[in-house]
Amino acid sequence: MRKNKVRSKVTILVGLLITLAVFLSGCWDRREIEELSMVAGLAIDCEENTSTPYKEGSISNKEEQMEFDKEKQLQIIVTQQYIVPKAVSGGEKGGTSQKSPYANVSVDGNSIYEIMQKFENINSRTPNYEHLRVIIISDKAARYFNLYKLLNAILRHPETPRNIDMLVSERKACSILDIAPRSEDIPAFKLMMLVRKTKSKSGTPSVSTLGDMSKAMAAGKSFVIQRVGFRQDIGSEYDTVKISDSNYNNLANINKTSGMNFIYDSGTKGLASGMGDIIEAVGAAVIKGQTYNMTGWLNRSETDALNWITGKVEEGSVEFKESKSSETIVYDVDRVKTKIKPEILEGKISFTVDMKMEGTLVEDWLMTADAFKEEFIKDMEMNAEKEVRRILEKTLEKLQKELKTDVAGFGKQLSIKYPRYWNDIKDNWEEIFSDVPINLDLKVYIRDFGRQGSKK
Amino acid sequence: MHITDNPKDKISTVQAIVFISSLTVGAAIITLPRSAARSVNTPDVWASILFGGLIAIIPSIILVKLSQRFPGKTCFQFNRIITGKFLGWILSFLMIAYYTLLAGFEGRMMVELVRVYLLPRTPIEVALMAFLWAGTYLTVSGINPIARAFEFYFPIVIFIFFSVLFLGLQRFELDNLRPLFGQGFKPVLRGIMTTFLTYAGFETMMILTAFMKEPWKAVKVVVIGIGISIAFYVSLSVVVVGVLTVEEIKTLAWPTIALVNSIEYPGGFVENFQVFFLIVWIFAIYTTFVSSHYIACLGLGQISNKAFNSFVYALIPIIYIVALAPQNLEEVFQLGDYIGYFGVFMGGIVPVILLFIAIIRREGCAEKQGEK
Repeated sequence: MRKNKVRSKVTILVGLLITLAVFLSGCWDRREIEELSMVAGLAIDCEENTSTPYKEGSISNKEEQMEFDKEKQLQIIVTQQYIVPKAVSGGEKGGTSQKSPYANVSVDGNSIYEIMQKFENINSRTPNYEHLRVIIISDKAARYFNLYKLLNAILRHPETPRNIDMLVSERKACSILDIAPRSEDIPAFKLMMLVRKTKSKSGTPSVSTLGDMSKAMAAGKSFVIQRVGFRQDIGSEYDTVKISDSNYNNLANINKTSGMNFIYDSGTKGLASGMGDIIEAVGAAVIKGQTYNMTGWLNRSETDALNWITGKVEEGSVEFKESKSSETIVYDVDRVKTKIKPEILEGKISFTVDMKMEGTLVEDWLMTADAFKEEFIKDMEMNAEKEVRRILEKTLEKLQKELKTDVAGFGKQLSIKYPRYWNDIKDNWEEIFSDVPINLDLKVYIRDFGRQGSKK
Repeated sequence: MHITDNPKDKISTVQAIVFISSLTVGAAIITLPRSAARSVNTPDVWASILFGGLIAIIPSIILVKLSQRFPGKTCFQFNRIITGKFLGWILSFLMIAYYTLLAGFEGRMMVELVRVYLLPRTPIEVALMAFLWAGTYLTVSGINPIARAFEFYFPIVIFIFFSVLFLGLQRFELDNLRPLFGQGFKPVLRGIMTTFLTYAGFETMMILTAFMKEPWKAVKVVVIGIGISIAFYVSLSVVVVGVLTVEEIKTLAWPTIALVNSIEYPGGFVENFQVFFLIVWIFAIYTTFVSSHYIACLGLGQISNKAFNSFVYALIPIIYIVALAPQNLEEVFQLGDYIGYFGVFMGGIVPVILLFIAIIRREGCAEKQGEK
């Protein structure tokens, strides 16, 4: 009797174990790491669709031409940079393996997801976006496409992190991904590090990630994204990069094989690899909130000015001429405290930007300079203030009149102080913003002058 | 008619508090910010959540008072006394249906998130089965092990939950929470109905009071228990809105995961905080699932005068069907809303009527319960 009971218990146990084995052995979501291809960067370009319904030469009159231009849609080209793991880990330096640690693939299509699907057909490994670091959008694509629509698939994708750095490139985005950096292995990682070390760098907006973009776009707010581009002074006599003009053009046109999918390994093609430090991350692209596309650029000093107004990055430097001798003086910003004060008087909106700036006198070309004297510092403060004011005014003028975008968050402050009033005007705020008077209440202090105070 | 066969089936006051807050903190951690933001539409989401919770305390005190009139009896037993056998049976049946739906919904929510973020290719049926069995394992052993397991999980949940929120603070911008009451209190009031639903689960006190060692402390239990879940939800909403803005929350399917996703730990030795958060969240869902499953079984046991254990396995297929009934995510969220309304009806309206009838018919001992 008792034996029977034990036996039946054993039978049940064995039965359970067998059932368990069935469940345990099959793991649907097994993803072998060596079967994944880690995507480090994406570059989004666009080009004219070559497969339009119209045939060349079939357009006879102007109207048809206009119709054609309207119909002619730009096609998306995405370049994916994936890591070639063996070449990265390498181990022993100076080994025989000269394989490039990354590879780029470009694919075109009408939707991002379609393109992502095409990558699966091309790549021997499944693309994985969990370690995606940068997305570069070419300025052409950023101007043409509604970015909220363009990035929709990426925002939806469960693998993409929200802290991907977003960049807008002057010229082709894919060629930015194709410059093999000298300091890092992977171009995408170099770009990320370049953008991330915002400390003590001027001309870069506060880190703009996919999450930040998603936030701004959901609210319909205008915003700025970091610009990347080729250095202007490239190919000069003293340039260490040493590439000829024709090479530079080749570089920019590297992906001209339009209309078809192609793969190339920058390590073997060689044209761009090893070129090193010819990319700069400076300035910003302005994205208009209502249309979700790019409307213009901000240069280095305008980006600095914008940073000071938003108070997000307290960096930047100001170079100015001393009023009497017109010698060069450089003032480096350490701390900025800004308050945007909105005011409505008799139905008219105005803003006061209350800014207190503290910084260091880092360089002067003035032989008579004596920073140990109070009046010299006072004088320099006045000079610096004049220059800072000029930059701020120029930038605000550009934002208001030329770009008509409120990227500095004036609207937000207005909505905080006058929420009900804001409700009535928020739909055409940027139109109103372009005519709103903005007063600057600026104070510039020199708190430090480094290790040397005077030259004599 | 004794509630249990085992006199050991009594839980301490702390266990009761943990039980109530574990039950109210559930699937909503992930979805509440969105549903609240959609109905409030201003940055004052947190206020709605706070007031919703404070309001939820009122009916929960009423139902505690009701169950204190019937010491040692759960609502499945005392509603028969108050309303007669037939109505009582219907009420009990509704209660059981409510908890079964809740269990199914929690299971489905768990599986949905696991599908999106952890196991995209695993059939949801399989993930659901695994979850149901893991829940059953605890449910079948009765209230005492359940309460002890909750007591064990809860500090872990609190710790990870609040540390994730704390890490989220680095991207926090106070301006996203402003203007404060910019559109007046109307939006806040509009949101309260939605946020109030999240606190559904407090009606469990109608059952739990009977199991308490010190039932006279039941009011304290329910106030602290709901207070803890208010703290959970309010701090969550403050951080989520502060980091992501209301406008964006409205567009996201899983706003809380998006918050966790945007956390960056300086130095970056841990990159994916999602995993930590999902663990916590699965704990939270698990506790809600187990308690609702248990109560549904208990109800079935008590109306049929059998031990609850015999119904534990019988309910599994029903919960499974409920969980798989919604065809898509939207339907899942809708089911959640309906369950919320159902819960408010069972916990907010029914107890008031019952208490009213009980007072008129002088059922139960209204004598001073507190002083013993």
